[in-house]
Amino acid sequence: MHWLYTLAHSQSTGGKLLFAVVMVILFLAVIGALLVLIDRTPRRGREKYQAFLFLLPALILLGLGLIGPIIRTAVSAMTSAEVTKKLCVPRPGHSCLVDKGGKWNNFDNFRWAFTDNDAQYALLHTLLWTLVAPIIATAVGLAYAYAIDKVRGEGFAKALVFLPTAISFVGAAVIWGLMYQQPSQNGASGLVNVVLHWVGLGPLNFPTVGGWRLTLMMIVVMIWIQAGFATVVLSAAIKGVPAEISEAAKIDGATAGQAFRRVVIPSIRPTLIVVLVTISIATLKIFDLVQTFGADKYRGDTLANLMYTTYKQAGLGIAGGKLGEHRSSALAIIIFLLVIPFVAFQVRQMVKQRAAR
Amino acid sequence: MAEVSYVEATCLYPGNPIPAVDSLNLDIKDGEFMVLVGPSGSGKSTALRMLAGLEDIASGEIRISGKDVSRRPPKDRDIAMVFQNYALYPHMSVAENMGFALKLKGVSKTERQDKVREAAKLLDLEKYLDRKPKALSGGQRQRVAMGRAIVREPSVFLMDEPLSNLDAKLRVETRANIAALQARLGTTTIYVTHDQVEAMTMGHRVALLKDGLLQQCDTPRNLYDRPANAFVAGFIGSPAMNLRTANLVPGGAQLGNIVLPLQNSVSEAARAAGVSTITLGVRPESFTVAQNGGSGLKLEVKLVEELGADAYVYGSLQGDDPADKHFIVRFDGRVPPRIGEVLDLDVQPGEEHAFHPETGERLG
Repeated sequence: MHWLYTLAHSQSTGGKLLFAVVMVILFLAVIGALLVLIDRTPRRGREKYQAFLFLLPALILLGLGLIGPIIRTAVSAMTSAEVTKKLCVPRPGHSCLVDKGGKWNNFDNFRWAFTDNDAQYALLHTLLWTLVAPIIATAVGLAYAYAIDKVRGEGFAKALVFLPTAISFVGAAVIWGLMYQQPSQNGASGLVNVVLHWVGLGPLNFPTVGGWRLTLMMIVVMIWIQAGFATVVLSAAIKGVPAEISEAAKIDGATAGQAFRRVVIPSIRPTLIVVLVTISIATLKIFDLVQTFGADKYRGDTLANLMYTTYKQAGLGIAGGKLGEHRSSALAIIIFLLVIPFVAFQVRQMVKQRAAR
Repeated sequence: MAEVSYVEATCLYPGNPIPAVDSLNLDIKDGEFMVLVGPSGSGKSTALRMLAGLEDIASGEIRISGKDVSRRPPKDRDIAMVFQNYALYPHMSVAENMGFALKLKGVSKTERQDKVREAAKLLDLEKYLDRKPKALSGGQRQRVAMGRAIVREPSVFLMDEPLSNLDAKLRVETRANIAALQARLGTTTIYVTHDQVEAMTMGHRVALLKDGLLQQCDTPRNLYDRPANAFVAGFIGSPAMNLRTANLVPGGAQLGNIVLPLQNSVSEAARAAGVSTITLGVRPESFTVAQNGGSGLKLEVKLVEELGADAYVYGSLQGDDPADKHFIVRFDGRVPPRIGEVLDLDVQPGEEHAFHPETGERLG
């Protein structure tokens, strides 16, 4: 197999092309072998064999790309030293694993994640994020979707709030960085400070705003991004509520507010949950926004951002630095565990919904 | 208890210059069962929705108990409505569905429960009070929709084709139940349907609409016996009345091989209108086998529909074009004619209808 390795790392165009051809042939050979195998499965219980064989490639890829890394991360989170060489490509006779005396360390990394000041700080802020951002983003989206429903120019109004959803978090962070800009010497100032000035408040000294105030400022950006998503999805759900039901509510004597609260909302409940959970998961993992805003362990840090900075510290001479990789693995596992209940809740709701239909 | 009046009530849909309901004048008496009937697009549902407050009234007014409610929201009109597909709230149980209006009105929980239970008893729904609409059959859902209307004790019931989602047998059964219920409650009811049988069997009076215009409003008997125009004549009755353009000849109107004598009033009206042809209408049940053979209306049998009690004979008259609609004659179901046979028929005197050939208005 050494030739394949050489080919894979070939520098010449010809070599690269040859490698591509070899891989395509290999791929077809595997598929062909699979099909032959499927064709030869015993008659009894044939469907089960076939189903298994057809699922096999996807299962292997899932295993390699998802399950494997999860296990590795979990192992890394519970051990105490680096085990992998940087930029190492595994090949026969060479191991990328370097034993640096790593051993199970009795959940030390997790203990750190829950006792360290910086980690607690990040955990608290992530909690604030998750409590505020999904609910407000969904509420704003719902109110907006209901307000523009069946109004002239609905498509335009929807496009307007959906635009931010199309902007990357980094781009959004840069844009809002300008919005939050503090007044400079020559009087130039971000829109937020202009508005604050009008109402007789501020100015907000954005680059030095700290703690939960920076977190709230970033949450505003998150809401700005996610409200569009919520609007579009909820608007479709609102349109799915039969007109007769709203009319029946009107005739039953419901005011617009009562009809909305007692008839429309229960009817779109499944969609509301999907939107809430989707935004919650995105919020739990919030990283790019926080990173671009320049948040760190002193101001507005979140778990995902801390995970990144801790990883970056690996190998630096800082206290606990050599444990960075393992601590960030622990943080990754914690974020993963925090997401699970949301997903489980959503799946349960979906099952319930299906049973009710 | 209330009377309802439409006064020159007009409804315009945006983007359509032709009114969906055009200057409708209709007075519905207290406790009356009024059926609005017509083909699809006739404006019957729109007329009902105008009364419900679900459609805006472009001009004219609608009065309930003498008060103009044209500009009031549905909840201030004291009406209850049964929708075609029931429009039950899917997330509420049967009891909650029925009690929703009372809950919004702020009626106490115990009173609400009593009223819901009372209505459920009336409609045989007691067993299902805790179920969700999804767990009910079509007929049960229909009854819940009725129950939701009854519980409120409104002054007017509005029903928009409430039976059209039921199967044929259940429809006949429920038809009778609704009529009996209305008689018992004595609540003014406006009922929309496209089915003339429903209209004839349920309504104290029937209002027939076409293209947003009221054609005739009368008791089922009068509608059947004296249709105001050719459209009403063709719509009411099943199978439909045979309508033919007939030349006026001395002694009557030419129909197939015979000259059908017309009543004096008809001839006079035709003369007054200055027409040389009329639209002649004869119901399938107005024929008998000719007494003195050979002198009657000749009809060649093309098709026979046997329904047990009756047989409907589809045939063509002498001189008929193949493109002409078949002439339909009711026959005793026990002695149906054979296909190809030529029947010899008499028209029962006085059972012919004559209409203006262009306007369709009744003559005489």
